[in-house]
Amino acid sequence: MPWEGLTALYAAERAYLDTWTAVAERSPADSAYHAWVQNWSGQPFRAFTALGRDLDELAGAPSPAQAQRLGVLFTRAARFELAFWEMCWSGLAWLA
Amino acid sequence: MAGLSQRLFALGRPNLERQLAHPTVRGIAAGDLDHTRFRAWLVQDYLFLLDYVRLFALAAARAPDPDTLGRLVDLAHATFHQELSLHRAYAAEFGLAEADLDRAEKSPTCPPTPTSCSAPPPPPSSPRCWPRCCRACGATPS
Repeated sequence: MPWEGLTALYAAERAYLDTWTAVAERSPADSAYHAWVQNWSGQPFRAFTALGRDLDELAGAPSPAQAQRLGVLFTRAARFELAFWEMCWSGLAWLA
Repeated sequence: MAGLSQRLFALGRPNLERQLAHPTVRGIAAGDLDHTRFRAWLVQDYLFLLDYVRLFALAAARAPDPDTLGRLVDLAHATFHQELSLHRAYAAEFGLAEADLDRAEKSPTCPPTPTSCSAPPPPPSSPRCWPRCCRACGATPS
């Protein structure tokens, strides 16, 4: 199914955008990370989340079995996002 | 019924909450994450993006139609020329030269997550890894 790959991409980009958007709302203007945070939550980056619309168009109305499969893929990809933060915090090896 | 992407987002919501509560993310938000950890993140994200460009290029090569081909090439191009440039510029502000980024190595990778919780433990020489658990119940840090 071509939309399996798109589901993984959507999971990654969506998690990234949502996280940075939430961070931007809290980031003090004098923070060393402020410019960086503004970049990732900015408008150009939102173009990546058009992937969600693509997914809806491409997948149409998936069967329950297909929807469940995409849910598993989405959740697994989203866990990698969390693993990335943890890897850099504690030095845990990359999740496989 | 909500669209597929909306339903997937709802499924990922608990994971998003865990990300927002993660000390790396909280530290970046508050501005008090120590720079050593941020540099570690920046370097790994830089290496990730290089592979992400390769992924888009591979997907582009298999695109089923011209429109998709163009969009995937655009994603590869933007990631390589814009995102990676931004990483280099920001890394420089944190004392990392381009050469530091180019000779950096990816974090070691855990042995594959077993498909069963009763799988034997990894050899003691393995890098420090996440809790061993099967894919069905998920491997996430405590």
